[in-house]
Amino acid sequence: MLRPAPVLMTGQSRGSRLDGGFEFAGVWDRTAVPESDLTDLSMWEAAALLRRGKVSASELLDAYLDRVDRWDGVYMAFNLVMRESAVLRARQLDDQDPVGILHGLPMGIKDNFYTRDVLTTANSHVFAGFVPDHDATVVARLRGSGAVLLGKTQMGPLATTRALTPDGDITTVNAWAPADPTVSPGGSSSGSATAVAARMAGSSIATQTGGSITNPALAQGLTGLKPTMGRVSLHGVIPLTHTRDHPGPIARDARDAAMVLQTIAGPDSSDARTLGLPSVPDYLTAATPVMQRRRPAMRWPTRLGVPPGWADAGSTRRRRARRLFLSELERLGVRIIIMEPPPRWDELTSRSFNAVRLAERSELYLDILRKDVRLFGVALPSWINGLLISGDEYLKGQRARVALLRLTIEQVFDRCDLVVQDSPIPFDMVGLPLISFPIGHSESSLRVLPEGVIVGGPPFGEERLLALAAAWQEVTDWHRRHPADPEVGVPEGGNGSRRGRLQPELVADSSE
Amino acid sequence: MPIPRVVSPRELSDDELDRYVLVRLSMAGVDLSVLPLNDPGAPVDQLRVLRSARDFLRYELHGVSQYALDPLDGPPAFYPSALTALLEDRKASASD
Repeated sequence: MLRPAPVLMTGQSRGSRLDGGFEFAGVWDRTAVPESDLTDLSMWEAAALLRRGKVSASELLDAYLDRVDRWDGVYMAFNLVMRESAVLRARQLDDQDPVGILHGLPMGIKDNFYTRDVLTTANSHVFAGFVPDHDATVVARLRGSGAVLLGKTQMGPLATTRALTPDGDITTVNAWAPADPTVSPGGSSSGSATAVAARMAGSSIATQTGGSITNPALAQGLTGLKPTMGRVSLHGVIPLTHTRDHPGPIARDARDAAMVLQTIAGPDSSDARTLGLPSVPDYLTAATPVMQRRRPAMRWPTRLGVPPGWADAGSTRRRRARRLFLSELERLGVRIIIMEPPPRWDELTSRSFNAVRLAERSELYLDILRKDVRLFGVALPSWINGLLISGDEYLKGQRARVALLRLTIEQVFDRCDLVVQDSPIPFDMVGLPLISFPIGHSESSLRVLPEGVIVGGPPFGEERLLALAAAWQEVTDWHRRHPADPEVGVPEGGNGSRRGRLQPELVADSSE
Repeated sequence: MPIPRVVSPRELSDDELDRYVLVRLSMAGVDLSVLPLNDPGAPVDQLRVLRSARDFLRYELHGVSQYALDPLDGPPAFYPSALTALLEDRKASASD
């Protein structure tokens, strides 16, 4: 059934918070256990089998741990596998009624989220040996909803760049090209994405400061959702940039992403950024496909802004994927609007204004910089550069963000409801929500890699983003395709890596 | 000591920018001398840090100070998107 579009950007409630009361029926149901492997199931499919008692949390966990044992030496998606606590938790969950919508579902946690009594290093010398005495709010909410925490995922040092050792040796590889470490796994949440793409986790929690949820999802054929700033608590997340860090899910599809977001979103008295915002809506319903006259349709009337030339850019396969994406959306009822960026867009989203964020990391870590700069390893230059930003430059950067947000609301979202983005940076700068998901494959004689799209929404427009992705995924199967298991001969990674080392200049250039 | 003329960082030599960076770091209490001077095999060395800092000053940061932003473009906000909720709330209250 269709329902009217929500009124966005209001301070009023747009639906009640689901406290386990969601009716998982109809399109959310699944009755058959797959013959191949339980890890082929999306989280919502696995949840249906768990609810029906056709699979236990322990069986599901075993299937994932089996893949971790077989393949994580190649992928290096995990910093730490929490085997014992995960097995214990799955057994406990098998002996009790469902505690939440993530009951029994195995998840990866990026290693910058505090996990009680578990090593939390952010892959940096700075946090070597650090064991928090409490969970991040996000982690506590995942546990409370019944998620089984499989392990801490690899990341760029202090969330700066693709997953590396602190000294720059490549660790995590893209699950679609494990034999070629030069194929980027996408950004600092590399491990979170590779774990899901390689079916070593049902979904993962990640963070984004400059693209690191949406880019790894794009690179590995997944659905990544970066919520509006403040929608998800950052309490207990090792900070990189207070005003730009965003936690969110990397998942198989829009429904899985909605399940995670529904669990972690909402006010947290430990994080003032989450307070006084619109109520958390019903993301599960938003991500539930709808039918109109027996055909899949959009949940809400939707105008999608697309930059001129977007569908004609890149390789032949990319162009084909983008054109098919737009034509299929039109069949679903989306109105495509080709839109020039507003005046001043390029200046306000330039590298210069993006650079002012570096002052925040330098201020945060100044005591440690004073103690020993070597602790920052290969990521040091961006911390040094942040110290060169003056107060007036930093404040002009903040004013530029306000100007950019106003431009986006008044001259972008006046013409469309959602907008395709070439880069996540502009929406990261102003804290607006983004989703990325697969729309095709680019194939060469060497390999097959996913093609995807990034779509941005207005403040607190996560429902609309999920609905768009869910409708697209209802009529396509790109999100269901996964990479083949690795072949032999993949170079070893880690310290002294034969996968290569990133130089500090490149790390600074690609830094979040 | 003569007062320097107004100059763009792109006109300054590497040595001049290096001195500026090192003095700034010194005043902030940050010591680069614990790094090797020039060791491509090390994760990072002094020369690469200084090269990155020079490029940052010349090609990234300079654009911020040169950009003319109308004073009426509003006050700075650390969390612009979250601010919209407050503003919309206020607008709704005012129109009630």
